[in-house]
Amino acid sequence: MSVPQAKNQSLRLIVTLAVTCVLAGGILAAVYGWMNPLIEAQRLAAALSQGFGPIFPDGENYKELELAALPQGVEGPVYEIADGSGNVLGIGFVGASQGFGGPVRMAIGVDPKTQTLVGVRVLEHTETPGLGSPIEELSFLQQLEGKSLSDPFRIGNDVQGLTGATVSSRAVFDGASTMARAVLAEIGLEVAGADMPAGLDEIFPNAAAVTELAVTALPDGVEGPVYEVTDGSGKVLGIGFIGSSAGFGGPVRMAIGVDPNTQTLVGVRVLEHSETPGLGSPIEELSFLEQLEDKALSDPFQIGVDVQGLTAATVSSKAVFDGASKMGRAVLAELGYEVKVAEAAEPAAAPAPAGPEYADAIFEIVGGDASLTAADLWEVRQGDDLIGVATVVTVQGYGGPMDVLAVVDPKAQSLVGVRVLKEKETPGLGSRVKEPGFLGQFVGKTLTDSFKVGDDVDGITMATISAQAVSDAAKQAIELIAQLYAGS
Amino acid sequence: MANFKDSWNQFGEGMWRQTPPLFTALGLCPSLAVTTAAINGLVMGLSTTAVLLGTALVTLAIRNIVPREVRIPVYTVVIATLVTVVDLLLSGLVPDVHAVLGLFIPLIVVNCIILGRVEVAFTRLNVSSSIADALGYGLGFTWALTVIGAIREIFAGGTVFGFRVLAEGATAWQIFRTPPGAFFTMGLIVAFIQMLRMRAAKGRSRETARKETVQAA
Repeated sequence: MSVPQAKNQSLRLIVTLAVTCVLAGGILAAVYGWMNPLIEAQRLAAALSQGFGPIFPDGENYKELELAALPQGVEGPVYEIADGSGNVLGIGFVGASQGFGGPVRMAIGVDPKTQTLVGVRVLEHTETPGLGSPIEELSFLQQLEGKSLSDPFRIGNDVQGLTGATVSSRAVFDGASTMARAVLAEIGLEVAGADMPAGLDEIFPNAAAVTELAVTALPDGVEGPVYEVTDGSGKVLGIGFIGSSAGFGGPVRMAIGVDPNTQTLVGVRVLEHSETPGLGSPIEELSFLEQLEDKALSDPFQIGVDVQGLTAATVSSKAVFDGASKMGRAVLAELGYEVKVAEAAEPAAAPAPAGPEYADAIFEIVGGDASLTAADLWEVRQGDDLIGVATVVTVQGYGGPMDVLAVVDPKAQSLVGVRVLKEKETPGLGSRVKEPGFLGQFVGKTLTDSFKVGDDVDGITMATISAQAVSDAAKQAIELIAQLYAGS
Repeated sequence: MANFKDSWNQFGEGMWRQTPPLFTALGLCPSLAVTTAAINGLVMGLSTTAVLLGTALVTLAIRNIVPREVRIPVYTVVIATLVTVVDLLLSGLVPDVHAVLGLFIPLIVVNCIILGRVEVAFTRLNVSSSIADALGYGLGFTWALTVIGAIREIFAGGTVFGFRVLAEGATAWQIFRTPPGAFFTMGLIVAFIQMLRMRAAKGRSRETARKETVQAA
């Protein structure tokens, strides 16, 4: 094949492709131009017949409202809907929120005068048939008719969710309420006290409304605004706010409720945190947070004294205790309430956790006050005294690798304590190696002990392999540290 | 006449001998996804048939001017364009059907049946055989999807094309609404048809054997 022919050939390929694409584009543009008005008309017709029609049965005149910006989720246009004689019935729009299976598209009717929902109809959704799909049923949607937009729209509180379909239900409740509020705000009608911040409704279960309080300066950590929480009859239940304190893995964000009259905490809910899973993460559990309910702010909030910390998560626990108590006191002070703080109220500052990832667990073993030197081994010092050396040993358990933290007293060459940090043992059997009853027996063990389950270590029924693995790890740790610190 | 016989033969290949997705495991994705009801299978099948037929016609018209080197991109653009046109037409003219199939119509583009037929049939066979092939594969796909959809609809809720055929609650096996149910159904259909085919084959060989015996005697 000669060169000009090759040139012709590639030109031919290029021209063929180009012509194909241009033709395809032209055809598509033509069909789109033909079909698009039909498609748009159908969507509108569907919104009218299945949505606005049933919501505003007397609605006849639809006037498009000019909005500067469409709120998130709202498709637009937003209509002002009036009856035949020109009386405005309300505002209607179509919007979508994220459900379980995809977007939930609904028609929403709002009465701007009373700031209530006139009605909601689900137009399109992809929720699980039989579970989430009943969100489209009238029996479910009717609870929203006439509902005030200043209500919290919380499942189990003022709205009823579908069994087994909380996400789908929430998509309708939150979607309809937030979009309706946003649209009203967009046309200049701010809904008063609309949003009950997350967590506060759990702390104040009878809360019906929140009012923002004026504060001159927000105390450290408090996000603001600070709310006065009232029940249905207008009785003040307490003061609520959101604030953050420094945890082990990052800020711990929590909702805090205080009672200004009794100067107690009403309750605390952890909203966000990045604490170590399994160690610090239980700070979000109710069983941990319940101890703060009705607790006097004048208490010292000291772990082991008047509050119970989480095992191996001192820093995380402190973040909640100190954060809630300090911010609670500060907010009350800011609002002009005199906060009587007991003498012993300010606990001594905790030592900064330097270096090791497992500082919490090490402090837990040695009992609190110490400083750490980061290395492969962590030296734990009290003042200048070397009181322990910590290391993490990975051993093979029954279900997989297991990380065991051991602290050894290098002088006495004995174990100060052992903790299991990570394990994949059988839940209920091998996982019991984490229990203090089992781990406690290693305290004081020395190099001369055999570390054999059934001999000088009590095993765990049905979990000998897991128990022996922890025992082996403890033995390895003490052997390693005794060897390295033999001279000291 | 020979031409008609060839075309009929070609039609039969997709219609019953190689019916996708039962005997040619092509186009499984739309089959599993949409065949939760007979009507969905029917419409999906007919849409695919329309695209197959359109692709066949366009291919026949341009196959002599498209250079071999760029045939795949060119035919892919052709198929994608036709699918988008079908998508727009459905959504504009029959929005209820489009609401169900909307997600799956674009999948026709990547349905390997179509590009496969372009390569194997439309670029090689004569005009009437190509059209017969498109119709055969399209209608074969259609009946297969409709049957799968009907069986799944019966097992999941006791209806066919929305009409109640079994008492309410007689069958309510949710698994038939899910993709595993489509696999079960497909397996059952293939097994049933294979059984019939093997019986027929056995019958034929007995017939032959009997004739041979008679002749020998």
